[in-house]
Amino acid sequence: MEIRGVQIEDTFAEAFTMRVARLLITARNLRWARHAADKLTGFATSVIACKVEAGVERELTEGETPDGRPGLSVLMFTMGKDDMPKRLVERVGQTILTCPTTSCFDGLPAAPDRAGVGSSLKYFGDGFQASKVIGGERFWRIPVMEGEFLVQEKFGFQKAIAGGNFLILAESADAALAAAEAAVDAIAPLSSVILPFPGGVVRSGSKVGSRRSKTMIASTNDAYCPTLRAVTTSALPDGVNSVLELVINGLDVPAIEAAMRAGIRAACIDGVRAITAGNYGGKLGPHHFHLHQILGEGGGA
Amino acid sequence: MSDQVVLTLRSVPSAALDAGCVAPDRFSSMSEHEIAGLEVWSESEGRGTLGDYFTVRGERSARVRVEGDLSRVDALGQSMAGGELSLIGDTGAGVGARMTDGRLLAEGNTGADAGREMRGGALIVSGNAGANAGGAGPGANRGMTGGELIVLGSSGPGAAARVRRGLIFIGGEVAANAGQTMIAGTLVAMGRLAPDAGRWMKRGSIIALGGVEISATYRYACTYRPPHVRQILNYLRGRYGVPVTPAQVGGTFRRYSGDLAEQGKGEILEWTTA
Repeated sequence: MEIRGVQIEDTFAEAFTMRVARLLITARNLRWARHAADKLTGFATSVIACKVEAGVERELTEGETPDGRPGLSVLMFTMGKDDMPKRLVERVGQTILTCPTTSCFDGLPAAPDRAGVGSSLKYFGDGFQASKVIGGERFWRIPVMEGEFLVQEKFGFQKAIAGGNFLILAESADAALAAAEAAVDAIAPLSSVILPFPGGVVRSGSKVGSRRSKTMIASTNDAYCPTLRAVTTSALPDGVNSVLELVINGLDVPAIEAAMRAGIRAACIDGVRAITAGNYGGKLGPHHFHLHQILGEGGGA
Repeated sequence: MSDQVVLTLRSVPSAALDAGCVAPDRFSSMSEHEIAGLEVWSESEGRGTLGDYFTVRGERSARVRVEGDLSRVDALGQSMAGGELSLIGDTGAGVGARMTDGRLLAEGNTGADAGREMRGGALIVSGNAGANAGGAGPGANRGMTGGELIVLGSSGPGAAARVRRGLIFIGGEVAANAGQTMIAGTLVAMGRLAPDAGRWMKRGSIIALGGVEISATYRYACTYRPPHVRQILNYLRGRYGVPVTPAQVGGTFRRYSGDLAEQGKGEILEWTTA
């Protein structure tokens, strides 16, 4: 399969089941909502070391938020069900509670699992906190030096998928970056997905385990490192000198498929030789996203 | 099964009529005959049946409409636990008292005790409410413990007295002693609150959008934008179409803590355009 002369390899991305919560952050204006979201989603690229994977899903208009202020929707992923409450409390407590003018609301009210967030953070109020039930939901008012922080008592979370991906194999670092940026821009308008890595792009794709250390759970994906072409079993076609990867986490299979479809099509530009995907032979992750199936027979170009 | 059950008052009763049997969740499984046979109590004539005073049309429906001059009919929707009840015309006392769920729309004025001790559901009064709206019964420790009472007109004395939980909105003037001995919950007043609002309140919030005279046992804390007020006003506007303005939703409020003769954990939030 080819799209605009770019080879689409007949392979698949292998993804995993995680848990996701959706946080709606509102503030006096988008600037402060963005500050809070940037901190909340900081150091949240991979559960390999960050414990959570998180990113901004999209901007919210005043008509879309519970309190009628501008805001942002953030998706936060954890590996296990038990991790989510703790991570939410840590991150909301340290990044949203601390940020001027913000409030924080649950964005998955119908999700089957519930994590206590306001019900834990309320103790910061040292006995001066108060609650309000509005529309059947309880919210906590935590007094802070600026005024009050309003946070919902419980946040829903549910099963989701992490690790949808594709790799851009390009003739140069400039071409790879341009293609990755185009892909990120194409995915940005889509809801229910995030790209957890910096700018939505990861340059350090990893393989499971390490050749040298038994304790490392991941190490550099040497098969796709251009500088190692001569000294390892390389997977790179001739003429490829730079590779960038997009990792996509989403609420469900259709959301990830839509994001991969949009991203791959946008990434097929001059200077890109091929698009492939990362997998572990299909043995580790239950979700397989086959590139040819996602793009359709004609590549959808 | 009918689309709805319609009760039409034959003539205005000569004395108060207790029609506490009128509740849509009960009617949902009853035939027209069974509904007409439900017991009512007249202060002048004693025990009777609903059919003695109302014509009944429809059966087995949780949508109920009651028509006529109901100003002497008390306890309509009392303890209702679901369904939808529409009261067309002024009603007597105790509308929606102790209701636990469902939606009760009173299209007119209500007598005293509307939503007294209600525990859930929504009671919407399009006109004025009499005394003790959302309050407690005689000798009871608690008024409302849940649900939402929306009065688009004014309210009589003692609105929201002894409320433990729940949301009360008054669209017009609020007579004396509103929120008296409130334990928690929220009272939103669009019109002016008469003196002694929030007297002996423990916790709870009175949101005054139309002015309030602050009791001496309340102390000014600060002027700020309370995020929960924005949330509450947005909710009321979206859910019930109450006419709060963007200036009120996004406005600043003077916070008074009180009643300091009690725990002092309550608040009166007075909207200010300053």
